[in-house]
Amino acid sequence: MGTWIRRLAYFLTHARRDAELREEIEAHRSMRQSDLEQRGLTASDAAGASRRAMGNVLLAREEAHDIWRWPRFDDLVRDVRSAIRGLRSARAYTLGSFASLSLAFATLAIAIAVLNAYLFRPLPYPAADRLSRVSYAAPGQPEPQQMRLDWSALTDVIEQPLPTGVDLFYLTGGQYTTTVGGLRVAPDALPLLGARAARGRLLTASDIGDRVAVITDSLWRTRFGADPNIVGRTFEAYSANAATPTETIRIIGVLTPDFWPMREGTEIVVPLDPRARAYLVRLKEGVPPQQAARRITEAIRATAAGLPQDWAGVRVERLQESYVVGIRPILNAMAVVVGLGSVLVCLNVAMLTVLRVVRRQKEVAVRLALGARRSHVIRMIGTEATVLCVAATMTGLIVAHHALPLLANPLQQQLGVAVPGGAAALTIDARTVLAVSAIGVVAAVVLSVVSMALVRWHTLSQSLGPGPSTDSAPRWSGVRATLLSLEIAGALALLVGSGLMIRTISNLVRTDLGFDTADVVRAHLVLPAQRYRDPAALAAFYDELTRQMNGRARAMAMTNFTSFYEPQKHPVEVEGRSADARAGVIAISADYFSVLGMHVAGGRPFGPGDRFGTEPVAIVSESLAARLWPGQIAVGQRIRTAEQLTAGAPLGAWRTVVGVVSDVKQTHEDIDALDVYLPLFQTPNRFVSLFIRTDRSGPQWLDVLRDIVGAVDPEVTIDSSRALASEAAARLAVRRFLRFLLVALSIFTTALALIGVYAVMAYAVEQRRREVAIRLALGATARSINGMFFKQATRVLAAGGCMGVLGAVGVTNVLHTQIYGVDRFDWSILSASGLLVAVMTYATAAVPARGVARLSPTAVLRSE
Amino acid sequence: MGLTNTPSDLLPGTLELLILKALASGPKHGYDIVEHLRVTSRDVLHVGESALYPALQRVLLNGWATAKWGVSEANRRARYYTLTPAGRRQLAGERAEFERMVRAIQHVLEAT
Repeated sequence: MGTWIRRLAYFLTHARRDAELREEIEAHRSMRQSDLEQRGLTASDAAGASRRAMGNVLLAREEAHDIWRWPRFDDLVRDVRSAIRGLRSARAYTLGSFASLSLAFATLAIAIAVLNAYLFRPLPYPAADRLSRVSYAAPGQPEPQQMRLDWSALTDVIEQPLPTGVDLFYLTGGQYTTTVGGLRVAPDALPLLGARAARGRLLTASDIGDRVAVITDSLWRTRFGADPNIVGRTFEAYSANAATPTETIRIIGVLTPDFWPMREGTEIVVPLDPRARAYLVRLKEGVPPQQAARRITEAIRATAAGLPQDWAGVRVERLQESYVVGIRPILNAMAVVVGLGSVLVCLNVAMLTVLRVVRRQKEVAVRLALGARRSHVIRMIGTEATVLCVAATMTGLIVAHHALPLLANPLQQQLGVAVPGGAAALTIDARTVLAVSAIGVVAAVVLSVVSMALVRWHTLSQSLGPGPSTDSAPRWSGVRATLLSLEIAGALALLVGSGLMIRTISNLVRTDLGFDTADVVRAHLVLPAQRYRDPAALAAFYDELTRQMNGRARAMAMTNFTSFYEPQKHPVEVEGRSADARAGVIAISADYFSVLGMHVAGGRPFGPGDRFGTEPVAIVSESLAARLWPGQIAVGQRIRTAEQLTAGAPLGAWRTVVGVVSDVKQTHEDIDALDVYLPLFQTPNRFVSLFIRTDRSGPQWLDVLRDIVGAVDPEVTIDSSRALASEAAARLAVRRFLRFLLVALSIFTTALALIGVYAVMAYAVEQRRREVAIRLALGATARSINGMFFKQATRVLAAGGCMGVLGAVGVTNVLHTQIYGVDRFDWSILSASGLLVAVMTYATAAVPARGVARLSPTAVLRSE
Repeated sequence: MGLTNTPSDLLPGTLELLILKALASGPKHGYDIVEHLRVTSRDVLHVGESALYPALQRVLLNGWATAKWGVSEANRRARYYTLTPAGRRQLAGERAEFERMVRAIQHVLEAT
């Protein structure tokens, strides 16, 4: 180790040490000269004698330097310097390869960072791999109600149940009521979720039943002005779920900024009775989720009464898996697309490298003739590829590091799931650097091996002699043709994949929702539960609000449902038949259809007489009417369905169908238009969406609404006010951005493939100049010369096209299974992509071919 | 002697041993070391300067001595080498090995 360190110190200061050695040797000679002068020699004789006595000082200094050298390291430094000189002399190759490799590595780094953040890095909780979500019923099915679970009997599989619940708090007391996300949690579960108190303390068992809360760091700063005396302060709020009156809640602590509540917008944490149903558990070490699910199911079956016969049991799933289950397919598709694009880039660079090595044959021959070892020449050639890959890897990582913060929010919006730990967690960490560096090493090794293998094939006599060049040897042109075919295949596969996704997104963007969003503002209201428990109170609010809005807006409609979300599907029973359809159920006011421009195709819309206590009525969509009563008139028929928004809600009263309305899409992805509409006054709800037809903007209406609603009930919360058209556009903004990226990717990959085609064709044409000149001299026409190169391009295109079709089928299958809405296989996309690649390939290949066909044979042969 | 880089009558590695022994009696610069070896060998060993300095670099690389610039008796700037504890251990070890080799050669020469 000491020798290593001393060598390193010498390497870092070798210039100074060389100078010191020179001075030392000269001092030595000078002393010898002085001695000789003292013995009687003259100054000049002593000087000469002393120099002779020193011997070959230059050789001695070199030998002294060699003792400190690391031979391999010095060789490496020399090779790197030589490689940099070589790359600087080939600017076009260097810039093209470096730019495309850097872009590929940057894209890879971003993709790996995203995959790492969502799939590989554990959630930011202690023992996150053991945290699991418990589902007591299948999706859409009601949970068993009479279920008693003794967790103390399950300590063999469950280390700790973590009762938690989501809530929404309405903070009153200020100028306006505001909403804040809440988390109810059993006190001893909070530390197990990594919570720590920056100020005050966390919840304890003694807090159960008290009106206390721990708040997040962001709420402390935004609402309470980072008050240093926050502990002990109170605020007024009521809960959406607890249906309690407004309460005074005392703050007992502030969480550290690094606490991640998983659900975005959660700012308040309040105690939950530990006996509440636990949907989150921490498994025992080494216990798989399936085993825990079996044990819990057995325990419930042994103690519960009245379990549904078709109850399938409990499902336990790792928390991280349940968090990403919805987005895993799109992440997989992203990985496939990015991986394929990167392979394409590497293929392109490999082909350019092959051409470069071929061009350097004479340089290699000269070096060998001057005495350079073959291994040294091969190493020098390989070092160029390595230097290029290393520089591109580092550049790609730096670009990705700066791009990620800009891409974090659009990415989260597109995926619809926040990055675990927050947007700041989407970063280039050590694992990402390692992964990208490993890929960079593989690329460097592949390019180096390709380069060095080609040089090994070269011999001195073949390159310097007048005989035919080895460039036209079958194996050289075979390597080029293979690489070019692979590149065309990759470009075709990527174009097909991109084309499919672009078409899917375009269809989505062009989707006609069926209702008019122009000049409509949407606002959400939340009525406090404790004062709006019965239908009469709700109806009174609706009536008063309608009266207050009279004259302030062109028209207003109310519904219990928000915009651009898929409503819960409920079974729809027809009187005299069993349920054979599921439909979305929405409660609306009388003006709903007219405000949104929906056409009543049969019967009538709801009217002022359709209120609580009158005959229950309903309106169905055209598609649902056709499904339930094909060829019959729907008006007058009788149906019943669930009348609450939650899954598994019981069926309501029988209703008479009074109207049929045109189909609409509730979201851009809505594939069926099976909807049932109920009168809002017959199924009132304290969560109300207003649709207001107006000339004013959303923010302008917020102030007006606050005044109007405040005049009716100041404790009603208004949660945002936004133009419906801009909300629709915002839903599509990210998809438009994704479409833009896909178009850019398609252009980039096609351009890469064309660069490769041009480079290879240009080189092939250049190599056959003499042959072309002879053919022209013997009477060949320019057309026949072009035809010769056309055939060459066709062979490469045919091979690449066959491989590309196989690749396209594979890519299409992956996209179809992973992304909703993408067709399994589409001949039109494949044909269009294939035609584009073919036309661009021929056009690019024709450029150098036409140039050589116009040459003067005499001039070419004379120059040869 | 001075035109060659390695004294032909020294076994490989012996020069480093002699340098370490020369430094055992105190810090010396390169000319001092050469003169010390000439005088103590009774004018038998004439170490060429072109052989000396590579050997001194090996001694420094292995940490057997350190080097520091100072001023000589003749008021000239010179680089003084000082034996380190590792150098003393190396000297003892090399000396024991050298003496073992010499005894072995003697046995061969004295054998009938």
